[in-house]
Amino acid sequence: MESIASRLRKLPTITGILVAGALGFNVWTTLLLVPVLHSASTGALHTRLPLWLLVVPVPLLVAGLYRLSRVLLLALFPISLGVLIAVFRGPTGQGIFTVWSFGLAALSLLGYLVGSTIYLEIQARQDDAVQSRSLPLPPLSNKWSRRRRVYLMLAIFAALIPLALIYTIDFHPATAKTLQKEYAAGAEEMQALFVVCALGLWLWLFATFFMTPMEQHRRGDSDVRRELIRLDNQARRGRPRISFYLVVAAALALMGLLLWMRQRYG
Amino acid sequence: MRRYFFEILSIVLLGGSIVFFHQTVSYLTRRDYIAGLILMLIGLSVMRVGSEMARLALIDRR
Repeated sequence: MESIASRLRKLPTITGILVAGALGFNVWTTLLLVPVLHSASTGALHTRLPLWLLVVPVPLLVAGLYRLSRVLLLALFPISLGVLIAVFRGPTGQGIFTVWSFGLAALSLLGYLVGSTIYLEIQARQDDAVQSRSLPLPPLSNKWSRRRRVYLMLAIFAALIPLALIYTIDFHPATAKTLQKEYAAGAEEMQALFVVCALGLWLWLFATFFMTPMEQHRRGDSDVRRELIRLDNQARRGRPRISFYLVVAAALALMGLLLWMRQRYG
Repeated sequence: MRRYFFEILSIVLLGGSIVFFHQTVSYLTRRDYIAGLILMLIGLSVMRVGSEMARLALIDRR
């Protein structure tokens, strides 16, 4: 028979699922549902496709919560939201988000990412054998307090920098004026292109200046050991990796798309 | 023989990616942004394939 203690240990799981799910649905509502429904109500939608496609991220979120999958919760769900926002940028995004509503949406997304990460971390610790024989810890040393302050600072900047980039491109009046002056009719397309470039730049900055120093601080971590073994195995393999075939297929598909566009639009 | 093949292939692919990036810039100057973006992605893909070939050449040399 299940003891009360083991039942109590399950509580954070259910609470975590509810909290992460609520935060995920909040992000989905703020970033996709409300703008698409607003566009539908104003007659800005020319097809019903966006209404069908806006449900795509939901199964990813539900599956991620059910399977406790980092890939689904922290990568595929936010990416699916980003892709749909980029695709529907014309009918949904323009003119709907003001600075304040953009700030609210950004806070929702950050809340979801932080909440899901904490939930997954709690779950991972519950599975850990160390949890069952945890010892009282001494107070944090100055060195670790300092390190925690630096980690917190890095996390805050990791959130602020991409938001500042997107704000500058999408909402800063001077940028809008300059884009309108330089590109006239193509200003919206250029704005979208700049957002993509800014996010690409941010990913590079994050990998170079944030992740690299953090990786050096991870010691005795089973994730790191697994990663090292995986990298070593990959380096020894004399055959191309799966990503090689995917990239070749993507390049061929893009060339085909380009040829088709040339043929159709000249 | 195999390693030379991979080395030459990686040089050709990495060099070829520069052509795609050059084309990207020329399309962007003509304000054909979508074609420019597609060509940039093709260039990045070709570069990735070239680096994989370089990896295989290095393994063969060990």
